[in-house]
Amino acid sequence: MFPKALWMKEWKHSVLVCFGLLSVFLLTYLVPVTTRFDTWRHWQEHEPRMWEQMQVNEINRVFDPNFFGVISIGVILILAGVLIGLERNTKRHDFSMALPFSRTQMYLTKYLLGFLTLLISYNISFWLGWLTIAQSEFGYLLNEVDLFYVYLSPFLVYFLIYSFAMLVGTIAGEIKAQLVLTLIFLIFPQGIMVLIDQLLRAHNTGIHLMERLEWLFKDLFWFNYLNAFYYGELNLFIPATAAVIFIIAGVAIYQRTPSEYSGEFLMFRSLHPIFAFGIPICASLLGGFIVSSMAPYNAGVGMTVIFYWIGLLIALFFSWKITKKLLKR
Amino acid sequence: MIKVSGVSKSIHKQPILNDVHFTVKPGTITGLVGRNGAGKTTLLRLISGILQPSEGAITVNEKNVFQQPEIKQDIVFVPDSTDALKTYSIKEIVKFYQVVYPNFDQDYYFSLLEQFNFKKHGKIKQFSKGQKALFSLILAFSTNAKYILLDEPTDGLDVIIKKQILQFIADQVANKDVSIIISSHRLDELERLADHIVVLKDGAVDSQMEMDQLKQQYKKVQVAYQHKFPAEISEHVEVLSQTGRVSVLLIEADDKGTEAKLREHEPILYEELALTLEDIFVAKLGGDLYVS
Repeated sequence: MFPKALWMKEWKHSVLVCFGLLSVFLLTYLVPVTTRFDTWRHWQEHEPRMWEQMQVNEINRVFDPNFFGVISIGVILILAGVLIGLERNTKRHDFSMALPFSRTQMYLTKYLLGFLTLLISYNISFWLGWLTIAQSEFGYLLNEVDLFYVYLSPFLVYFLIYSFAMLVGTIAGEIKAQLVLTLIFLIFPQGIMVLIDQLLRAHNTGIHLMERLEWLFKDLFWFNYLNAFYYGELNLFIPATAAVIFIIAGVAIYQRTPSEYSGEFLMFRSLHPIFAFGIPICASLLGGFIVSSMAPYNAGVGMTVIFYWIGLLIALFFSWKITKKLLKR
Repeated sequence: MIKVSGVSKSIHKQPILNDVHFTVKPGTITGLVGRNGAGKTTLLRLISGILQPSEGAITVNEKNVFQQPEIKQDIVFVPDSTDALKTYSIKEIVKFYQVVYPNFDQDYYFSLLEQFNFKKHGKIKQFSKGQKALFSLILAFSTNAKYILLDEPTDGLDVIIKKQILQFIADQVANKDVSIIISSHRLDELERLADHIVVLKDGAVDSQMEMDQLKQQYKKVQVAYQHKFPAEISEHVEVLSQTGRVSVLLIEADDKGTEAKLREHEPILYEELALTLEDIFVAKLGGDLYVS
């Protein structure tokens, strides 16, 4: 199922990004631990009362991915892009497809290589950080950490985002399209609801969509799973299930991907009508959203509606032109 | 045997290939001829399983290349560009090919590198364009695959490397049990190599023929008359060229009547010339195939 030749090929082209991901995870978990020790010792000696109050917060902060969580996601997207999209930009695509392996073998090898990189890098970094604390005089503080959420919640969202980026890679014709589409679709459900909500608000319909769809902004906004604020509140079963669905869909779509469109924006001609209308519609809603927010605070509904439609039409014009060029590539 | 059965392919809703049928027998060289855009590269990409046919099927030893990709251990596709190999070093690519193609002959590979004065270290991207083309052929033939597909192997190369490559291909076929499909718009190159010619025109097989039979079917003669070329003979011959009073004609080898008529008009020059593939195609296919 996982031929050695495919491992060799994929590893050769992605080794740099794989080590990049390991470095970022080490920066997320191991490096902050070692640098915080000096600060904690200083507080312990010179400001014991403050340390008393801060220590629980401090130990949990060490395991909060924060800024490096965002960087990790960026590297994970690049890893998925290198594994699928970059190949499509080059003659390597024909070279790979001419090899005596099935599409399923190809996709699963790519997927597994990235997943193992993620799994191993994350675990090395996380447990090195954990053990470093456990071996130090601050080891007792680990009792204040909810290991289940602190370990699993970020990992599951990395796993989900990687699986999703790989899935998007099966329909995108090249790496730039894969990265852009992954980013857009990661926030699409929330984004489109915000835009529709603003459309309804600008026209004073009295319908407040966002308030009715709180779950969409909480449970399905994947970045929340990286935020320590939500640990314990979110159901980790949701990203795990979604990731598995994305893997199955990725395998199914990769088998059907027509090679002749590699290098273009999309691999499937049948998706062109959806994008041809979808991009301008979303862009025009965004245009309306932005320009209507420029209307004076005390402006009436009429003025806001005018601002909204000016923004919508301008964005519609430009996005229509851009979409036409994009899909003709 | 490679069998292409009723293969059609459309890209961007444009038909590229339409109901293509042909077979490639073991141990033969098949020349795939056609102008740019005739569908030669698309056909090779279909045979190597890169593309899936819109209709029809391609089988290698009765196995469908798309549904049973393991059969591709016996097929090596050598595209017109070696860009896919440029990140590999000479040693890395050997290790890779050994794993992909179980019959890869490492000793033979290194002996060929030595024969053509290649370095045994370094990156493939450091080679010149001609060296890259020759290197990819060395790599392909070292796999001992049963079928090798060559897409315009001499395109854009200088005359010396071109000769070297054609000679290399000829030597390999003489020494190995291998079938080759070679696409080209250069009839003069294929003439020296191919046993079987498949002519693609506008995405369909216009004609296909065996080289040895083809050359026995026609004669090329150069004639000159004291006066004008006899008009009544024109209908029975293909006039390849006319310069002043000298005409170069193509006649069917067994058409003794026309030959007799040519002599009856007492030519001041009557000479049989060496027949080339180009002559036949120019005469029979209206001259729109050959692109030099």
